[in-house]
Amino acid sequence: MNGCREFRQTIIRFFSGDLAENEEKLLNKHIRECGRCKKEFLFHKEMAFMLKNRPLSEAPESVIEKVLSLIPEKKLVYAKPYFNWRIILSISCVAVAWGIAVITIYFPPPLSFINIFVNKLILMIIKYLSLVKNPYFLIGVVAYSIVFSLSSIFFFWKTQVREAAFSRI
Amino acid sequence: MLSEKELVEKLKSGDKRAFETLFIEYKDIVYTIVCRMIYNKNQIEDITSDILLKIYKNIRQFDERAKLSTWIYRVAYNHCVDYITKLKRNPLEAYKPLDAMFSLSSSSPNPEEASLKSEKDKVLYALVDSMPERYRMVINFYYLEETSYKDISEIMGIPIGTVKTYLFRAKVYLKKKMQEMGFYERM
Repeated sequence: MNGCREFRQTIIRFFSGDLAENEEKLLNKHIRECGRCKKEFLFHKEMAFMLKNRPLSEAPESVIEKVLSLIPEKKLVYAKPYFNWRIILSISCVAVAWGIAVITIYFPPPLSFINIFVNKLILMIIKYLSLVKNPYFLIGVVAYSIVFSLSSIFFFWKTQVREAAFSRI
Repeated sequence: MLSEKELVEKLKSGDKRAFETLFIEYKDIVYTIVCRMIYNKNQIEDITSDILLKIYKNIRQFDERAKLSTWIYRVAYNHCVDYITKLKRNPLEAYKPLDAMFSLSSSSPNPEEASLKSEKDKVLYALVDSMPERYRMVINFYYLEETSYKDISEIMGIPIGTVKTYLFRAKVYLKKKMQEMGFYERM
């Protein structure tokens, strides 16, 4: 009897697709031998069939019509920028680069081969700039850098604008 | 015929035609989920529309690692849970769910009932509808489009083990009640 009680639980698990292969074999063997458990098996089989075949309720067309009337046709609108790991990585790299630059200016590292090379390069640029008689040239370079940076940011922002109309409703 | 990936791309770009396709495909399932969760039959159409609108508004939050159907069921389930919670807070609007047997003889039957085949089916479905919400929805989702344990766990936000336990208990309950009502002889 105890065996049957356990098998009745196994039958429920069988119809939930939750049995291991060996358990399934044991169950098969048992219901061939035990009439009461076979009845129980057929009961659950019929119940599973009825539940599986329960008809869906048919939604009236008005449900869709109502929602579609609220959705605008596809338009180009500004959608909130979304961030993924690439964008976050790019921003982090820029931040790190600026951080290193600032730290290097305030706390120059001891001279090494690379530093000597970088120093020479910077000195060369300064020397070249100092040769320029017109100070407006330097202002021009700075202004150019700012404009270039801003335009980069602008193009980045433009890539975030998508064809969507989500903000309309 | 669009693949799911293509459809999702179009949906995320705000293509109205894609939403129309999606709504036609899922309207009956969403409506069924609402019917099986909400007892207030007057609200079913409005709630279904609200869910479809929510799908439209939040489609960009859909993480493509999951199945679209699972995400839609989750939106529908959560919306219904929110609705029920709100009703519970407002005792004037909330009323006791119809008892399974009352709903059988009700003058305004469930939309599904018109197409039911036999009394046994009716009783079984009424018993399912009378179960506590979590058990009811686990058994409904399990047999609705043969949703997997993993998907049910995602939809309802409960562990897979709990899904299995609820399903087991729900079946034991249904068997017991069907026997009590004389549809099956005691075994």
